Amino acid sequence: MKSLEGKVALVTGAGSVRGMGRAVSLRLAGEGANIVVVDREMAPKSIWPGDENWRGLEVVVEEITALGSEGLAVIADISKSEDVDDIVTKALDRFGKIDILVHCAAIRGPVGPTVVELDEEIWNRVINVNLTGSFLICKAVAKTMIDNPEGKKIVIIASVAGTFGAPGSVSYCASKYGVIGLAKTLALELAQYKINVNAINPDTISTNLVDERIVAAAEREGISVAELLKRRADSPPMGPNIPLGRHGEPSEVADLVYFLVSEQSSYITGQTINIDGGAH
Amino acid sequence: MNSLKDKVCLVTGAGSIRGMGHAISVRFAGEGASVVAVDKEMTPKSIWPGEENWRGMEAVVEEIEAAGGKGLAVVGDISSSKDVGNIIVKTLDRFGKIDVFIQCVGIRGPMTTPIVDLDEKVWRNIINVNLTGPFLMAKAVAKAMIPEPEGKKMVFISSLAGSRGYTGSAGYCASKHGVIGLAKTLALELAQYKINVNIISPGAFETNLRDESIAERAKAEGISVAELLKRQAEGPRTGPPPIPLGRMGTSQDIADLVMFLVTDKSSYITAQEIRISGGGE
Repeated sequence: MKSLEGKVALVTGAGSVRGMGRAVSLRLAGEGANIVVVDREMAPKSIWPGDENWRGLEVVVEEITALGSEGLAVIADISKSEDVDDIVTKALDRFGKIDILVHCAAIRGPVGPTVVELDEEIWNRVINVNLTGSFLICKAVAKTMIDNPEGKKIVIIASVAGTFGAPGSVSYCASKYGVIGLAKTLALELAQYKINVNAINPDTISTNLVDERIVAAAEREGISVAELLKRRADSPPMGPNIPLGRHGEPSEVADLVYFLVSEQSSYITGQTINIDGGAH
Repeated sequence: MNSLKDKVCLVTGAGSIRGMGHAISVRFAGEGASVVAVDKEMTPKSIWPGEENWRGMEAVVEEIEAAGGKGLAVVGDISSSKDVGNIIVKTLDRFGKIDVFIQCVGIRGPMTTPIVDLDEKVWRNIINVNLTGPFLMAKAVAKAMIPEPEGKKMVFISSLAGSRGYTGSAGYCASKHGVIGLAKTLALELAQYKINVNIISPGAFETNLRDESIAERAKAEGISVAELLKRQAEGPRTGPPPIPLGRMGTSQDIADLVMFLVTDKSSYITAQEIRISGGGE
């Protein structure tokens, strides 16, 4: 028997081709879980050559099915409570329960503007999606878990930017600090039910979240995105001092998520775990 | 299960019956590993009723072999560089390499002695065993790993006392803070070889590490150890702050986390301290 047979997992931010949410969904499906995959749009764009025809959640559900599990795609904006209610209703209608929440949805926001330059509207958008969205989805899912809490797990993707200042990225940084505060508080509140809540702090992982940054870098250097990606493939950037000498892969985050939702980690709760090649 | 087949794992502090090192050794053996179990004495004592006849390392090696691994017991004091040299020689003689190193040795020292009353000798002994010992082991093991570093892993057991103060426990606290500094530095130095080094900080666990303090407390209260253990099992727990998950950790909980950290499922995780504390700070 697969280790997550009979479990239902809800994964937000699962529609990007190179996203952690997709990698997590497939990892958990491979272990036997049925998966509700959520994203704001059916097929989030990717700047990478060859990804132009990415069909998003539709494909992720096909991949889940190919692994022998069931998948359900829900398009929703987690920063809106009516959308969040819709996610939970659809998940319960189809599968009857939610055992595992893996919350990956997030936006990067601007890279560059300092605090004194940053537009309030942009700040609000990032905080709204990254922090209030996390609150809304956690609240709604936790409510469904409490009645029958055994073996329930919540994993929230925060960021190493939730542990130190990030000049030029204040909205992302503040939202991720906030997410860690949310996760730690939720862990203490749900510990009485034996529900484990933990946060993962990735550093640079090769996902579509860094797409915007790459577009900006290409513009700065006056070359096309394709050209920049090719150059980087030929000589990958070391990143700011990553001791292991490379960026992480979404599958590596998925391995850590799997550990945190398995029975092998039942005494670990309220923690943040960095996955960053030793950078912090 | 054979995820550690052909791996050689060296585990220090493996001789106590309720110890993390014991649980880790047997867990590794169950995954097909060869395990070198190290402790300062052949049979570390336990104060728990029914454990008077614990045969220590001899029993651990039997359990390792029953679980499907190969076992070797080495008696050595990790705070002595001569003993550390001997541990490495015996390991390499028998198994030819070290793939995984788990540093569990630690002593608790006094728990209720303020710094102003703390004897220098007692302080030096704790730092020597808990901090210099891990340094000597790490140095010797790293040297053995570097020529062929692929898939090599180290895990150091520190403590929640490695990141905050505990009144009356200065020696333990300072040594465990130090272990985190040692392991994080080692992680950065060994990252170029792709050797992963991480730290586990447990909260309150049911191991023999607490035996000494339980024995002292029983003496202070004028009751037998057995009576105190019985009271503790029945009555509300006093002392440390409540644990959110409502129970103490078990050696099995630690072994599961160690297992994750020595597999190839965690190869992008290095230089990290992971707390396993039931949500306790």
